[in-house]
Amino acid sequence: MTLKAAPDLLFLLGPSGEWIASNPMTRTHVAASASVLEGIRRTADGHGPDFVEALKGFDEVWVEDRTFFGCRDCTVADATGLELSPRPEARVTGAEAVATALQERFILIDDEAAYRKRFALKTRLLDPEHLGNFHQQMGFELLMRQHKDPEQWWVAQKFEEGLKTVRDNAYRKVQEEFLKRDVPKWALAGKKVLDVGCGAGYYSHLFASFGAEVLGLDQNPEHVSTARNAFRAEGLRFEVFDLSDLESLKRLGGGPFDLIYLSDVLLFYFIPYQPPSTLKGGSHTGRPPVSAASFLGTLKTLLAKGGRVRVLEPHGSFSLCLRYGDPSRPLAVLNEYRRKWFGITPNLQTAAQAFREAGFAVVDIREPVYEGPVRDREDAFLAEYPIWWLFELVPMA
Amino acid sequence: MTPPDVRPWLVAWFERKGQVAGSTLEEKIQTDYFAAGLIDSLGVVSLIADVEGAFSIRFSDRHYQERRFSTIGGLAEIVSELVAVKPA
Repeated sequence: MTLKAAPDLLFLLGPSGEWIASNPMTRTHVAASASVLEGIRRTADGHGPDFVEALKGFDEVWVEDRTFFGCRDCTVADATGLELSPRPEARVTGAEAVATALQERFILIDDEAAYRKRFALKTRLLDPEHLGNFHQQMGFELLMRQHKDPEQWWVAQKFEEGLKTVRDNAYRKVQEEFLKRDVPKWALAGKKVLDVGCGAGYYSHLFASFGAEVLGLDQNPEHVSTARNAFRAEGLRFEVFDLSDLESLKRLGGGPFDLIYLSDVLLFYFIPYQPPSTLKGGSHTGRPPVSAASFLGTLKTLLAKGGRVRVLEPHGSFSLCLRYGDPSRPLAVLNEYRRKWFGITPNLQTAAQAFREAGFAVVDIREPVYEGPVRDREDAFLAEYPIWWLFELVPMA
Repeated sequence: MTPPDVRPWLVAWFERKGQVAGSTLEEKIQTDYFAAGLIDSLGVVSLIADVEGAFSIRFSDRHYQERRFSTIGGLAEIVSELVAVKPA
């Protein structure tokens, strides 16, 4: 078997002066001795010596796996999956073992066509042929490694116990801080708000605290139950609702609404469709079987005269992009934009097209970033690159 | 080589979830339990927990990447291999 370098590699200098071979497409990384890098170079085109042969004569031959699932603790964490700290327990030595480790982390490959076929959706939870998109990898991480129910985990990674505060991660530093600054300007007192995909109801409650009458809808009964238990306020209520049932949505009572708000919801209408059987267990591998434009078009019929829609969604470029660089000079690496296989957000053109097809004009686009003191690498990245964007929409005349 | 007790244990586990096609053990262990709809994603978690508990083993990512993991017989082979290398 002839091994050669994967066509997508980056070579970095790690913080301890070690070499790191990084495949940004597969989000896999290894630290390696200089001899291993030389071996990779000699076999780069597949026509040189066999990799194991190429390492003959070198004394120090080792690699250390530096890969982890970057979002294992939070969906909006650094998705690069590069562990910068040394992991001596993950070190293997010797040419044969190193070759195996490099193959497992897609630094070396033996079949380029098979390698390229891996960049596709998984057809089921355990599908060794395909790497799968973010939600599929997230589902794998939670189910297979952490043995957790993804639905319960989703709430726990975003909110502290009892839903009194947002966890001190990007959800708080960027999303919540932005909304706390911006919502007071929305003049919600006495207005009717529909919070579509309200989850555990945290932001529905925020809107109600500004005097709005708020109806929060979510298709997950557990989230609605959690919201009802956690948040009670005058004019605030929550209902379970199938957000793919557009006919029922058209007949939704309680409107018309002055504001329809969606946060981290619309992306699900853009994700490539997978059969419902693959969705069991909350692994979120596919979108509802309706388009974003038809979903938004239905919401438009629920708006009051002068009403508007605000859509706060993961950013089409920087959400889930790879993060490299020094804390003082964060570096974003985009490994996909138009044809996404890992990311789950539409790019700007695709989003704008859905808004236009639904009959909306975009009157504002905001790109919130972290505005607090920069203490670490994550802060630096969040202060430079927006990982959400907010669209403000009004019906076209 | 698969010890004889792993395969019937697994077949019995799956038969508690639904009908496993085949009339003999040899036929039943050919079943791809995902394709047969015997378990969903959360079901896999139960399967892993039950198997790891029953045979005092631990699966790794490497095992989940194996094609064998999707069939009862393949899973039985993996379990048997892990049992064989288990410290006494």
